[in-house]
Amino acid sequence: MIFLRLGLAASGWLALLSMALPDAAPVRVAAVTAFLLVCPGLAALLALRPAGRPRGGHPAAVLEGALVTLVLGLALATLVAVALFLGGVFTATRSLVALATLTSVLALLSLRPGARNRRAGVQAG
Amino acid sequence: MSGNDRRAHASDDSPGAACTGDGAATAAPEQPAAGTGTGTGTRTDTRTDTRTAPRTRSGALRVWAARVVLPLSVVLWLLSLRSVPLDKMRDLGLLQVLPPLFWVAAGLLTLGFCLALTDRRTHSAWLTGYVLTLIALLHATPTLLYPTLRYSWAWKHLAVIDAVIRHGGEVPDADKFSVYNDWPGFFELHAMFLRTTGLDSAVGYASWTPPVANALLLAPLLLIYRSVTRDRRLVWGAVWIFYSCSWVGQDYFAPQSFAFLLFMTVVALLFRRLPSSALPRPDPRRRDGWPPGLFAAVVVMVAAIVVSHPLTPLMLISAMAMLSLPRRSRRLALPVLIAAVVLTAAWDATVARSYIAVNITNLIQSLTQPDQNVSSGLAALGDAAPGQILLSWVDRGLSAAVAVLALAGMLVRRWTRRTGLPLLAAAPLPLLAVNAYGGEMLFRAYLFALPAAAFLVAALLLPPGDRRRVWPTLAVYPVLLAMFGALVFGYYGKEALNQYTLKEVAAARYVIEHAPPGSTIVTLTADVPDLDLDYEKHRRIQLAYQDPDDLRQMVIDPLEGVEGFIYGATEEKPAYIVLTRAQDMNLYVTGALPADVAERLQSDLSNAPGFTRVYDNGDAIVYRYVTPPPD
Repeated sequence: MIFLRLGLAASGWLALLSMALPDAAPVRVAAVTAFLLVCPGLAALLALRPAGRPRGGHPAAVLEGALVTLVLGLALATLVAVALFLGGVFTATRSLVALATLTSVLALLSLRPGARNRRAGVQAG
Repeated sequence: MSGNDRRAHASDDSPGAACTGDGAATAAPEQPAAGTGTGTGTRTDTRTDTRTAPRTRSGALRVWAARVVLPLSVVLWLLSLRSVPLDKMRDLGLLQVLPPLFWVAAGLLTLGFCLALTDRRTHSAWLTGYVLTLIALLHATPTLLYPTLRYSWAWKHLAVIDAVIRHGGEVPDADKFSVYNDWPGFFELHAMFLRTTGLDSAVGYASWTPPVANALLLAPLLLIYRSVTRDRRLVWGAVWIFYSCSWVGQDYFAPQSFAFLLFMTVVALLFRRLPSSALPRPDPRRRDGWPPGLFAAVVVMVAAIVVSHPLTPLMLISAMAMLSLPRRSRRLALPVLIAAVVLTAAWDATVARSYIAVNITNLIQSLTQPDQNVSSGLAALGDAAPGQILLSWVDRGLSAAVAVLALAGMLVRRWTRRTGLPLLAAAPLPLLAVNAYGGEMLFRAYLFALPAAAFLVAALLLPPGDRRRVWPTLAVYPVLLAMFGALVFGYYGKEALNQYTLKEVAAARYVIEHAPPGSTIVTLTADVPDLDLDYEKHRRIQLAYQDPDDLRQMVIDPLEGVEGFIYGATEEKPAYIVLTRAQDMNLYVTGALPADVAERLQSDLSNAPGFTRVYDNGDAIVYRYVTPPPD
């Protein structure tokens, strides 16, 4: 699980790195798409624990986890885009930096001391 | 729970106890242990018996038939798409050009699904396969057949994204497009995606929105239905009915399809946490209410809805208000209701204030004339093509049948009244009274009511009982076929004007590339792909949607009717008249103007002073107009 969190924390920055590739390069499109569709939502899911364990468990919990990952990620991306456009400061780089920072914070949030116990408590009850 | 409710629960046909009154305690005796929620609602011992009992020969035959029919349907469907004469589409759109093999594939698919439903041991993967194939068959067929993106509104939304990118947000001089400045979430999300990936346009993936949007809805639908019952037959039957009755076509590349997925997710998360949920509780120690973290996630989703679409927040508020009425769901629905009201009010009072201020008069007027809102979506069909009149009646028939069957389901299957689904189905009704929404409110209300209504219909058609009763399940086959048949009328019936050729796109590109800023672009209808590009730079006139007096003039003398709108055009700000195949088809199909107007106009323009034919590729003709100097 710790590798998943560290991977999530790095994912946004890797997507940002892919922007050095030419416009519409397949690797760039794949990296950014995968990041936007999965990473912010999954990081939020792990941090907030809204749907129980992300892997395993009851099929409904898995389905709910996948749904929340996608939809919450898109919602977060939408709000970041709207905030940057409304502020008149939108650039592609800034939007990815904002989402990468958010994803890193959310992914690393649960690694802090004591988080494991509290999480276990929430999970159990 | 009242005494009557208790009796109903004891003697009624409650599948897996569903939601039982005010607490989970009464549901417990019939609920299997957490983690086995895929049961079908009969008591545990019965379930064990039927699960372990060997299949009869006919049962085994049905199982294998269901497994053969699914891949066979996919193959037949793909084969049927090899040669579809799209240019022959007329009154009934795709309906009249799809080959018999397509309909055989659809019929087989529905039969295979019913066979799969008869066996409670059918793995969910097969049922998922059937539903995804239905979605592909219905919604990927146009994408696979057409050379380019379908539907003029989808093209319009591409133009909005392009304008948002060019202007870095709010688009000035947007005129009728200004509403998109006020609810920009969907467009700015795609603008961000295009800028970060370096893609030129969303046109490449926008074509796939209908199948993808529908496939994504499967997750919240399953979560809602499985929260209500453990009867898998009922759950999957309701899913099938939802997709077989969703004819409104709001699943294209548009803010509403995005917002609808968010809406459904919020509702699914709520149903999953109801104390009476048939699914294992994600947080068993929490008696009711939201875990704080999840509620934060829900608020984020609500905020994304609020910034993306004007109508969906109102639907969400209405749904949450309804679900706040019964005590069993109040502690979950009320916080979402408050969040939705606060966020919507904040957004409407700030970013969307200009739109709200302008339209508040219309809103008040519609409040005093609610009957007009209900009827405004049903267009007069006096001059429409014969096929369209039939289509309109089939649409209305399907909608009415769903409403009647859902009502009957609620009345006959009394346990459904305790599920919250009747409230969810009724939630859009108050909106009918307050907003005509461009004449579409009735259809939008149908869409938002359909997820709950489909379940109530399924509850009526697929009563729980001994799952070995094969024939009652197979008996719904004709009903499901009829639903599918009615759906394709509404969904495919107008494809003659929703489908575009690459030549039509090329003509629009020519106009956009050559028209100087300030030019006027005139079309008969809205059905020209990509002509809205750079919309803030041009004045756009769609002749068929002008005042009745202008329309009458247009019918008497098309040339004079056009000149009335463009007189005074100069070399610096000329006018362009764009006539295309899809516009002709729109006039013929909908009767917005007499079908011969396009031909007469073209004939008149060829010899009229000031008009120059500058582009003609067979599917589109473009005239440039500069007002001649007075003699």
